[in-house]
Amino acid sequence: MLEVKEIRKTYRKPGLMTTKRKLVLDNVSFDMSKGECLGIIGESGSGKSTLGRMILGVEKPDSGCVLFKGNDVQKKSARKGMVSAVFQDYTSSISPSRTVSQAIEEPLKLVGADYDERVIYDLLDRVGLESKIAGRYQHELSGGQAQRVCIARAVATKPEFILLDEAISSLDVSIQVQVLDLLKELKEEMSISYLFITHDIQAAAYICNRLIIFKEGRIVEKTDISDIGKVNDEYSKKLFNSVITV
Amino acid sequence: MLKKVLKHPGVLVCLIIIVALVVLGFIAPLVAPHDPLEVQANLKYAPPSPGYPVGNDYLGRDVFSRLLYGIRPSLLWVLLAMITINVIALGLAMLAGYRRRGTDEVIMRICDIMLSFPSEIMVLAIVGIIGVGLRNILIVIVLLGWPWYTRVYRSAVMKYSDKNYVIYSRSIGNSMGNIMLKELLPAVLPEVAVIAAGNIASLIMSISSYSFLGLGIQAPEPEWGAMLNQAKESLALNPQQMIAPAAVIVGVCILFSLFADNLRNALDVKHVKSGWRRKLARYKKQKRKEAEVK
Ligand SMILES: Nc1ncnc2c1ncn2[C@@H]1O[C@H](COP(=O)(O)OP(=O)(O)O)[C@@H](O)[C@H]1O
Ligand SMILES: [Mg+2]
Repeated sequence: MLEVKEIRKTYRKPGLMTTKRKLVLDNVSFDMSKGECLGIIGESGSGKSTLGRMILGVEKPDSGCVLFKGNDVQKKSARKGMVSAVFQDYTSSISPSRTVSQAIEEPLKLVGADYDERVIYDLLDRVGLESKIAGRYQHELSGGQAQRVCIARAVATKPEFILLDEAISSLDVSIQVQVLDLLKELKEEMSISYLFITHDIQAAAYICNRLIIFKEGRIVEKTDISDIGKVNDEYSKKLFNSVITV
Repeated sequence: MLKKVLKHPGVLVCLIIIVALVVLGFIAPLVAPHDPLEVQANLKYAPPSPGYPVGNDYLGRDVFSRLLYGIRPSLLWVLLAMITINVIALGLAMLAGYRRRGTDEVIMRICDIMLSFPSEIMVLAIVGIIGVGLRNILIVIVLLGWPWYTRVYRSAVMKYSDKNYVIYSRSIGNSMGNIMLKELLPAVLPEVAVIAAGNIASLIMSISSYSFLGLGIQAPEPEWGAMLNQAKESLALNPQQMIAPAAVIVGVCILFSLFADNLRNALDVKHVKSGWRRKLARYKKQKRKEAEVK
């Protein structure tokens, strides 16, 4: 369903005089099939979010391409209604001038869906929020609530693919588990594929079928969740061991 | 957004006064008690009297009527110039700040070139070529004014176009025009409104000062800066002539500055209560507590 093909991305190094560029993504390729949950694990600064922006088609790779059901994601028509995203920083994920219900309406309006208040209330209910929240603004929500609204917004059009970029990393640990469970349920219900980007290997192991270990813009290991004991790469071994010893 | 802004008392009061002034400017011929150009030699430098509430100038013309007629060039045309500048600047800023890369580079380099000329000298030079007059001054001000605003608004647009909600909007497949109108415009509009309203005062001042220098509107047409200029001629003997036009210019500038300030407060979503209301709420709460204690 999703094919990432040999993506390279460089950014200009800061500074007036330099023409040197920093390699952020180096030849990244992987596939994802329908209904799958693929985890991308890497330390911060390893280029995970950059990869996410390429996959969402909001930024162009220097070379390589991302195909969604055979179409280049750079084209808007390839994504409309089928792709969605949830980001780490929930404070800036909802426009400050929109209420919760207006935020959830946005994707519905875009695909020209037929909807009314009840659809919004159902969605809110589905992510465990009360309907009285619908009229609130982003700054009147707690972190967990805001992230749930973002999830409700992401699943509103029943997309086939959602990118979760550190979607739970800014939440309290107890709320992290709740949100992970919610994501799992929604996945079963609507057969959505997740690309779960995180630095938290435990969370990834909790929800994903497959993991990709990412380091300095390169894939160092791809493994099924059942085989994480059998990884070959040194860095991945260290990573998994650190979790197991904890 | 508009509703919330209008609920803010400060904004509302300022806006009512501004609208009233604009309307007065439009209907000046109907409400002005006298012809602003009517010369009455016997009323030269006359102090305020029942028929002439702020007195008469060096030709015996009614200062009050001249102030009313002066709203049009001094305020309406300035507002129009400001709106034009802002529409151009906002459009370019959105293109530059959202598209980035080549588009940004081209627009910013043009701005740099425009900004590298000292604007006062450019105004004098261009007016020297195309001739004096209010219309020419306004054209020159618009031509020279947009680059500065473009730069300022561009950085605001850039700040918001990196926000997650804009990235989300793009990722689900919204078009560029849609994102500009529905995400970026509402986000930058508060900043734009505050900057524009805050700078109207200085634009009024500069238009008036060009008229004061004799570059803008030409005698005998009434304009506040030009009136001030004429009053200056008799500064030694009749200094009170300066008071009315100067007070009006300063008053309008203060009005717009207050408007800008209040607008900023009203547009800030997190700014739920203005200062005095918060104090009032705290005071009431304290009173209630005291009552409970008793
Ligand atoms: N727009 C950008 N311009 C320049 N450098 C960037 C930009 N975005 C990301 N980077 C750089 O790319 C690297 C990877 O960033 P990011 O993808 O955010 O990592 P992660 O999400 O894994 O923490 C960082 O070193 C960052 O400085
Ligand atoms: Mg990141």
